[in-house]
Amino acid sequence: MNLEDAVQQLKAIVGDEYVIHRPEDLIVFEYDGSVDRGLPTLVVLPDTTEQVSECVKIAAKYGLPVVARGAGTGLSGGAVAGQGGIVLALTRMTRIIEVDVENRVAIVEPGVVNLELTEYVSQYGLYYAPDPSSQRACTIGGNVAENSGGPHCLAYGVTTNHVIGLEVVYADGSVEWVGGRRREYPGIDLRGIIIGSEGTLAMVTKIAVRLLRQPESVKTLLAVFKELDQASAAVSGIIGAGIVPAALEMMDDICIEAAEPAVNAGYPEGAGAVLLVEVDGLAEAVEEEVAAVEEVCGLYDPLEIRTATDPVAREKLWAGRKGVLGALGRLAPNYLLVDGTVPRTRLVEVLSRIKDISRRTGYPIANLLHAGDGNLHPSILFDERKPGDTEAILKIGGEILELCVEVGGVLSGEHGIGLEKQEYMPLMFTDADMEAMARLRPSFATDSMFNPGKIFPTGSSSAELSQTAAIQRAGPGAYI
Amino acid sequence: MSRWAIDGVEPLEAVSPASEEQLSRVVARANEDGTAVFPRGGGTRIDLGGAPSRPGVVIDMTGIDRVVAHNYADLTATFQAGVTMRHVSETLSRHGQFLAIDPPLPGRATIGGTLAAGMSGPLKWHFGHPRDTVIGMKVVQPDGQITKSGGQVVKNVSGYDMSRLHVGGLGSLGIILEASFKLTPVPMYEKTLLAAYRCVEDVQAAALGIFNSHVMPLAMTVFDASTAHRIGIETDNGQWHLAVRLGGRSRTLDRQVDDVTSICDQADARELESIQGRSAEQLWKSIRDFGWDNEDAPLLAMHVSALPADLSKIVSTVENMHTSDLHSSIVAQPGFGSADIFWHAGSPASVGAIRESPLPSWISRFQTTITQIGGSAVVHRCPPESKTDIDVWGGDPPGIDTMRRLKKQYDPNNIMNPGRFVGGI
Repeated sequence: MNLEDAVQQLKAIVGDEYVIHRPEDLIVFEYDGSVDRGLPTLVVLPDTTEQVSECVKIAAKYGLPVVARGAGTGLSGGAVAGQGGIVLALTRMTRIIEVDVENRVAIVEPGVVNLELTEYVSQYGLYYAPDPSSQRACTIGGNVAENSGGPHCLAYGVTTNHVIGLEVVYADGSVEWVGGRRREYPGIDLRGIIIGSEGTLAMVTKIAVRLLRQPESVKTLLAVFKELDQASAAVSGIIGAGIVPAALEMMDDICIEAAEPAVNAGYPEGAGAVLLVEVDGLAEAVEEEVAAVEEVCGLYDPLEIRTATDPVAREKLWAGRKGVLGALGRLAPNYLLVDGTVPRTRLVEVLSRIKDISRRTGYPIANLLHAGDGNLHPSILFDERKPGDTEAILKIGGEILELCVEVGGVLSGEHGIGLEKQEYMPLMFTDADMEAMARLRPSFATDSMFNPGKIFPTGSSSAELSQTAAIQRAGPGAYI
Repeated sequence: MSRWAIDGVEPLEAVSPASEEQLSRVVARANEDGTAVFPRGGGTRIDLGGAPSRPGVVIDMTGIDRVVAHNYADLTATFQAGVTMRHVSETLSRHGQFLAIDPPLPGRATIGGTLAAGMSGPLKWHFGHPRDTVIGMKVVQPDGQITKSGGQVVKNVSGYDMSRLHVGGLGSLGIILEASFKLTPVPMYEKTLLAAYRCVEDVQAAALGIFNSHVMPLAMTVFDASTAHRIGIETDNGQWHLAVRLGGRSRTLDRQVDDVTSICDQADARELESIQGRSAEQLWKSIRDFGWDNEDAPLLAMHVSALPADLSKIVSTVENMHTSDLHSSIVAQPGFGSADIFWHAGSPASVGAIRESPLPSWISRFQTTITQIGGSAVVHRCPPESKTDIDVWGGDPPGIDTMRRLKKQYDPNNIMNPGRFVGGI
């Protein structure tokens, strides 16, 4: 293969300045929100669907893998070129092509930042519901690849429930819409297959999304408990009482210890767990639901309950939760962030067993959760520089995932499998299950071209790669 | 003709497996022999799809009907494919919950058949397509292997979401064996408002007014005078009805009723009544089952998908293609963007006339017209003899090449429901 030829042809398609090939420039594209590393051979920044299609054809011609990349905030190594090849950075494709207010549909390019879409359509009283914590930075295209959730997906659903159509480029460069502006199309739901496929089946160049009406009223409730068990029981109590709030988040004592000095949240003395509940909708519905939530929380001896409706006061209640990941850096230089989901009724048990693991191994584990949907993010604190620490915490991470699966849960609630968890797939799936999944790739005629080496276990050679993939660097710029 | 015939094609055999293992063996054997397999639930939508391209084994799934789990405290449940929708509702209602999928004829319709056909009812207005409530699935692959994907939790991105291949896939890539769902708590109180309008423009204005308000009804359905007449609502000719189902706690419900009432009035409602309890249940049952009950069955039924605001375009397409031999009835979900249209024979004499008239070309013309307004029209029921001359799916959808490759990958011997799905898959 003559790489120089490929570079020239790609430059002819997208323009000289949009093909990055000098090693010192490529390093920027070596990792994403995890610290997975993989140096791309080239980075190309196309501006249109036609350019994406032409680039894919060149990649096919030269046998180069293609890895799509948005803002690079992903947490499972989805945008890392683990096997080299072309990283197709879609961050120039940032047009909001159309907002059809009457039908509440927008068509956007993949590089549009999640929050920018919501801000743009707010002039019509509308918003885009999925709100990953990285929504100020992450792109809708990346959300599609990972089927992203967010704190408010409890009531409103994840990306696949809101994206109704995709314009895609297949491995042969052909372009096609799957789904569209309507809610229903005859045939197999290719749209639903591509969403969450982590960039392995097709490149997405346009996205049709459903927009929701902004809620009339929003109220946030913060309940502080002495014990983690009380907070988990309150979560089960809320769901069991038939209340599905917009968001239901939880943090444990270690998170509180980290967050308090960082954001001055003002949590009371002896706080062992914080529950954050947000309800939105009609003003009457919000008042009635929050009263019901308050009543349930009251059953579990809260130290304190605070509520707020105006945006500034609500933001204050959220501050501790939103700042916690960055604040963990106060407690340890590194953390391993685990992402699993368990049935909501098993939260008490699982959290207590995670505490046992922490006690037994001596590594502090901070627990923050999207508790309403049973999505856990235990964060194991450690110091990368201490010999043996990394190996030990990776083992603990695996143990926690095994625990999640053991109680009927899953490997990833919202971050994806990517490079990070591919070795754990056999915990959940049989060979036959995985083989059935893997046959999607030849069906989309992209056996190893789009994002190769992801999702499925690759045996010993990948073990080392997936280990480095799992370590998260503590500090600002990390999201969950 | 036996009860197992599909579009007039008699099966080679009908089997009723009683366990996963038996089912798996039946499918594996058929695959080895290259014998076609036609999975069947309650048979309520057996008319959907093209005529079988060859006869085969009908697999009656109604014996595989275990409620696997109702994790009511988790708001999730798992059912085997043969469980009827009524059994689903009864099971879940014991703990004040429901599954937001409400196809016609729940006493017969099975959960597996409902998912395979991608069917729902008025509730999809609020809760979306049936695929949106599925969180995990077990499938019998065409080689007889049983595979699973997803799980029993409400948030999960572990591996590809394989259930997407099968919900609405009409059994073309495998047989749905078991499915897990997220559930919804039953609202504390409910009320239904029924408004009558002079014309379709008024009813559309009211429906879109509600769609664009802060109120989120559980269901919102519009139907024409012919439908009203057939489900026993007194009405004047040309009049349209809007039914809005609302739910919530007491003050929330009052507020919604107030808002919907004022939107309905602004759009010039001629009558507005508030219904609750058994009579509301009866109204929604009639709307849901209309056109599917064997008494008063229509000759032709089509499902139109379009944009949320396209109701009046659909209606004018139906009106422009009026023929004296066919009487149309329309039940639509503006705001969601779908409509079911049923055509009954105008008079006993016209039944023969229609069958002899060029019905297939009339259907194709209707489908083309709907395509021109940006929608699609799928034939859900028609005389079997018409099927040879039409594409019930309204032509090849975008993505057909990928769908064909999926078929080849997962069902290389082409045994699953051959000839029935899009593009002759």
